[in-house]
Amino acid sequence: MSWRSFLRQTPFRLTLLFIVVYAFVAGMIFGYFYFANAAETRALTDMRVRMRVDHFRDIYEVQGPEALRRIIAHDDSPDWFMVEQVHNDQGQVTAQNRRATDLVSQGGLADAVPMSVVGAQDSEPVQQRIDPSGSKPFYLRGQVVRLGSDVTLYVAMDTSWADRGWHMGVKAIWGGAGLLIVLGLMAGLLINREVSRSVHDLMKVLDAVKEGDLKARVVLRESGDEFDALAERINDTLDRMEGTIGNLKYAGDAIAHDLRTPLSRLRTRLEVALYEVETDAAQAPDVLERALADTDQLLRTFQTVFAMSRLEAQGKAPDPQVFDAQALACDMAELFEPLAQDKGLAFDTEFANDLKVYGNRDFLAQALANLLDNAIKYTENGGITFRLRETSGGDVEFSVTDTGQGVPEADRLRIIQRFVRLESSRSLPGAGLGLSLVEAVARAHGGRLAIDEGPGIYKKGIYVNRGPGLRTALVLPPV
Amino acid sequence: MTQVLIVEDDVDAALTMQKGLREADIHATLTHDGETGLRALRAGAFDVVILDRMMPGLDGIALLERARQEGIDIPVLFLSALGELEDRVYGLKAGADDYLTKPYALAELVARVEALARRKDNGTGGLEAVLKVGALEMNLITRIVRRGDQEIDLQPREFQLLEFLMRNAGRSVTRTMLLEKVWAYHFDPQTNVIDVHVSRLRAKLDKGFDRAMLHTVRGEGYQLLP
Repeated sequence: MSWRSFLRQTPFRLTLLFIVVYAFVAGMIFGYFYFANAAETRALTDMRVRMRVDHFRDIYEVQGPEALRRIIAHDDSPDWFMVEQVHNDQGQVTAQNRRATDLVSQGGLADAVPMSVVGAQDSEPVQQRIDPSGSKPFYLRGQVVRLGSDVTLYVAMDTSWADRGWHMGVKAIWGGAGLLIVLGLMAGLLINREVSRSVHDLMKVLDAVKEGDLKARVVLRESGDEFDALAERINDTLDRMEGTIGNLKYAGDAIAHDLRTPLSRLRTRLEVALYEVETDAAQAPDVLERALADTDQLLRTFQTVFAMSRLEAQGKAPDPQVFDAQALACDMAELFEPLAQDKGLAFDTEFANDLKVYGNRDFLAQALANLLDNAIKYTENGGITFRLRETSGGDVEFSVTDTGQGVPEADRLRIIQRFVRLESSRSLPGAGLGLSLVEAVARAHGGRLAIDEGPGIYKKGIYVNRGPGLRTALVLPPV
Repeated sequence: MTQVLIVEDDVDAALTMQKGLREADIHATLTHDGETGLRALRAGAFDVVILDRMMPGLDGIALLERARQEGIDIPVLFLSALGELEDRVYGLKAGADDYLTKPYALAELVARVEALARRKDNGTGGLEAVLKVGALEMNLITRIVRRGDQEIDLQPREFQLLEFLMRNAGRSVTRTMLLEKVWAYHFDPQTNVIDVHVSRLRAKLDKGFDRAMLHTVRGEGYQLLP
């Protein structure tokens, strides 16, 4: 990773920004302390100087100039921050304390005060820089007071104690700032490395998916952080995608597989037909008509398979609406009752009121038509009962019960599969898609197709508990 | 002669349609893209339009919406690819009068075009109180049906079935059309369930008469003849 790309990375830039902001805030706080501290130092110094000046003024006024000069000259008190001098009108020192003597001998302090302040009454605080040989420069802050003719008092205080503390503070701040920057950069590098590793992992997986490896997944680190959450989300999305694509592939394979059977049947018939026409040309229209009927049947099959695949792929019914379940059941009963009657079968209905279903009316109608058609087709004696009821679980159930030959329990799952036709029904027309479609419609509506034992044989208006029969039910969730 | 405009980008399919319609004495004009179709629609006097859903440029739905906005209220038969159930919904919402999925039987197409053309002739689709086909007479208000002197007693659905057949008298109607128009369900009945209803109606209609009115058209559907 080059230095430039490193600089472009978000975590590192955030770290830099953080350092700058932190340094700025620290500088502000530091500056505030500086000014507050300096003002405090000045005020304290000025007060102590003034007290000293007042003390000396008392001595001068009560005991006279000589006493003042003597007291100052003998002042070698441990309070050595104080510098005390008495000047005559020519500005020459006539007395000074020990501290002043020391400073003058070190060459730091002039033995005369500036002429500008001599003669001034109660001068403003004056500050002078002292640069003694062999030690650090410092500032004296004090006052020049003319007490009488030939007596000018200079009292000042060494402020180096405050400066020294201040300088140590500055040093500490610089050191701290250096440490802050170094540690901050290191933290930035660490965060950056961590984040780029996570991002890199994610990108690697996405790249793999882009290249077509749908099985690629991000390895979770179980840290529970945002990156893990993101990785989990990406993995979920990939799972779903893989599932959907798998379904589509499966649907495509299924269609190809499903259509092979009817196509090869059509081909065989055409082959036979060709042979028949060769032997007797007059059969041609008949043969063509049969081929046409076969093609229609094939197209119908294709349409059904296609509809199922779309239902399965979409996972929901198109154009869904809320409508009255009883109206649908009545329509279907009305449509199929003559078919049953023509076959000599009883056709009973029991429809509950006020049940609503949500879905595609045509698909649901087709599903019920398939159930009714099957029941009528596979029942020779007895009858059909078509019921609509609300189950104890609140579902809406359309059930069709017949008294036909039934389906052995082992085969009940099989008959839902596409193109599966049981031996016993091979002689009857159909492609083996009826129940598959019902199942697909049920699932697309969030419901299911239930296949159970029938009631037995219908005899003289009642069901005798003998013989299998079949009960198929389209169960839909409540609206 | 009924004039039909076909807007279909598949030239072969359009030619086949034209041929099939000609057999039924319907003249079809062909256009192969949406823009040309719309221009022809604005200019020409057609009875029915057959409109393909998928076309490059202006597609079927856009064309239909534009035409309806311009106040062209000619009956439209909408065609779309196999199984696109949503397309039927969109098509009908966009203002189509009928709908057919590919692949379709030519007989089905012809039957539907004829039904649409007839509706255009009537303007409103039938506000008349009495329908008459030969000796068969249906009073839509009293709901009494007579063939000659003999009153025919019909169940409500049989009445609707006969009404539809009478309105399309002389033309073939397919089983799918009957399920759609009489029962108002759009699916392929697969079995002979419609046939049973028609034969019940036929039993009532033709019983005791020498000549049958309700005929089965082989491979297509049914036809009511005077």
